[in-house]
Amino acid sequence: MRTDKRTSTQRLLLAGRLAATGLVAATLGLTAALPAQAAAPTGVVLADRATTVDAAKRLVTARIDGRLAVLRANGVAINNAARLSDGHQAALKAILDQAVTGLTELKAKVAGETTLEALKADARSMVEDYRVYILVQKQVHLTLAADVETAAVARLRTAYDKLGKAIAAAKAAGKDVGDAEAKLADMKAQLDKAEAAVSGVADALLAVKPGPDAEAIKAQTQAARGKVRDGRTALKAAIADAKAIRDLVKDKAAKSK
Amino acid sequence: MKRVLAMTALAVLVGVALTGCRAGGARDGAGAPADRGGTTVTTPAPAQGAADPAAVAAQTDTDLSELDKLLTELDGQLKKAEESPTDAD
Repeated sequence: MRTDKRTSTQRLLLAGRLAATGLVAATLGLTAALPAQAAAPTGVVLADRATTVDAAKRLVTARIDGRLAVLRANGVAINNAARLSDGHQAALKAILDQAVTGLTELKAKVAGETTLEALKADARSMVEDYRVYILVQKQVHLTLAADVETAAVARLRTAYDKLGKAIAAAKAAGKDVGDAEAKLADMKAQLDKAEAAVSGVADALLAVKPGPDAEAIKAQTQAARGKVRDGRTALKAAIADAKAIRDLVKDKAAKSK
Repeated sequence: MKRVLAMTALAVLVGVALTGCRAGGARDGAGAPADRGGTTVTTPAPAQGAADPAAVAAQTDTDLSELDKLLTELDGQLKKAEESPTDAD
């Protein structure tokens, strides 16, 4: 009898610790969805199966809601993005709509589940069939970033043409243009580099589909992020060149007055 | 009676003369239509590709200001692309 009491107390303490440390998901057999969390003793889990199923439902539902909130925020972001191309906007909208519809249906399915096994499958589907965090979130913001870079390159090319004409005019008038021509050549090289870096990045990223291989997805999003960062570095260099040329042109204009 | 007729004839002659002057002369400074052999005065357009250094510098200032905004926006998107509640899934 005394042994039974101790066992009950130990169970309660263990259950409390598990709840307190957020390991409920692991005890519910959701370790596939949360690989970093350790599994709990099976005996604890089976103590109150009905309560456990309800807790699992709440957990999975909360995780679905978190993903739906991110998807909606991303929907607002793409609607407000002035520089997003029409094609990319349509592709992203289709991805978001599909994920919202699927996860909303999954949420309803979770509400009707009666077993931990079914909930475990739902949790896996929530992660692997949508990949909201490691894929969709990246698709949205890296595509937005790539299109901003494309817009910046176009604007800088216009500035490049004008600065080139100003340098040529100053040179034709017999003025010393310093290293403006070298800066202009570097500006063009940096713009070509930025354009090459960002070219096709968004389209390739938007073609990535969710699936069970998280590492493969991460490799693709990291590659895209690296290219967008390369484009940003080249853009910064081109802008620095434009500023230097602008200063030279201003200086010549002031001296000619 | 003769006096009245003379005055009327004079008035008609003056009217005809004035009408003739108006038709043949320039009106409100405009030239006759070019298709009738007249000349059309137009404001000369600025030469294409003209590179006034001061104007180019001013336009570049505007471009660079816009580009600074684009870079800020770009950095914001890159930061959001890196934010994730969990990198596991």
